[in-house]
Amino acid sequence: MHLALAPRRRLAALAGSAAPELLAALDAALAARAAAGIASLAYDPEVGVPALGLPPAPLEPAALISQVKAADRALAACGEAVESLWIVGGPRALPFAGLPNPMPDRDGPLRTDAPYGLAGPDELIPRWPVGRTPDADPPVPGLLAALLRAVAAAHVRAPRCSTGGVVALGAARWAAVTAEVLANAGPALVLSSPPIRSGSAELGSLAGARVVYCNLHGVRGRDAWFGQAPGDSELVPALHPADLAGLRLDGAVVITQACFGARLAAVEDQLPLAVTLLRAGATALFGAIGLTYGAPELPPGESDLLAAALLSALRRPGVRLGEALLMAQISVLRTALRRQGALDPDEVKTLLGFMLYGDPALSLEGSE
Amino acid sequence: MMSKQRGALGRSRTTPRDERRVPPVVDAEAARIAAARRVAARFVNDHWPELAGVVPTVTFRHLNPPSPELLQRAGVDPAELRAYGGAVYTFTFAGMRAAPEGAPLVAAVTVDGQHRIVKASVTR
Repeated sequence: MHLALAPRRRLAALAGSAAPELLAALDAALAARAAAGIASLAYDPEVGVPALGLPPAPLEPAALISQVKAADRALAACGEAVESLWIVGGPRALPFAGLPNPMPDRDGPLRTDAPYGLAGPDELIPRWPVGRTPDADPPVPGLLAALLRAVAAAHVRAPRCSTGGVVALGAARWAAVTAEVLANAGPALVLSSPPIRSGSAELGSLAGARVVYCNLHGVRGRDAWFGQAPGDSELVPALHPADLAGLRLDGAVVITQACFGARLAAVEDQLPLAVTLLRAGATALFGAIGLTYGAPELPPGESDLLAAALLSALRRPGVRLGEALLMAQISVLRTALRRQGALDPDEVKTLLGFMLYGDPALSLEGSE
Repeated sequence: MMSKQRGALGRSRTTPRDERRVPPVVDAEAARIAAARRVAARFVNDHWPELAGVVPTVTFRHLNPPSPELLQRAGVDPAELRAYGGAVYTFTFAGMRAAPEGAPLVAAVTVDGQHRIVKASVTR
């Protein structure tokens, strides 16, 4: 059973006069799921599910996690199991959970959806995949409704409409690592920054890509992702929200290793890249809200491993977005354990911090 | 206190025996950590000069073995795990880049008991 946490009352309150449009888009997305054969249980956490004995829960992480656990137990009693959890709304509607930061990097607590899959410091891999169709923070009028309409269309379309390959945008400093990450990704166009910079004509290649993979820097308080020359500490803007103006990324899946890559809060009065990419039609985005880690040189590590495993998983015909993330997380865990015998804090942060923006039950065509 | 022999060179013992002394095993561990830290710091200074002078925090990989449940979830047979002899230390150097403002720079360098750098990671 695929659960959907749809806090209708809260979403309507945030949408104000646009609430009817938003709720209609939500209903259309749920209907599309059903038409695609996805057995779903959608509920408003503030209402609960009386039929399952689930009482209402306030929209705060601890209560929501308890409610999801109760749903899991109730479904198990009926011979069912939770297969995925889809969260509808941004953090103002249903907040991210918080976990202790495993890295001593001054990044503050980990903000992530992982605990809604019952993942945490003691259980690093979630019991079920979690995905969120977000709104910006604060919400942007019409945005969530548009993303939900896109979800509905993706389920109806079934496979992606994009026939493109992988377009990779990576810091030149990490060219060798990026190449290794792409080794099993299939045909890929690799753009290195520098010389590619924000405004470069080559960024038009992002349109029509099946997968957009970014191995770039993220900077707190800046709305771009940055490249870096080899042996040079200076960062150069490689991708800016303005670069996506007029581009359509319909059906594309975005994987970003950039620090703060999944941040939803406006920066410099500009919607962040994660939101801009989704608004440009991306079906999904995998990224983290806080600091992320990777190897400075070969072999790939941490988020490099996650990206490589995602790229591989996304090629499987019929793979669901949430399944792809789960497979990638297990792959990172397995690789780290076999290499090192134990996990380091940066691997733990990678496993718990990376999230999916998208419907975890959505199936992709794959390219194998 | 031992009395000094007439005409002998050197100092007599002034620290009472077995008092106010750190146990040798703690001394030895502190020395290992310090030596490993110097290895990590040299690596960091070479690769990220902006972090020169940053005092790192240390975590101990060997004190956090994976649980049987985690191994099972990963599909890893305990026999497959590569065993490291002795301690493994990870030094995390947290700072900021010179430019642009707000660009974090955190490097984590892992050093084994033979003073070999076995892993390095850096913020994206």
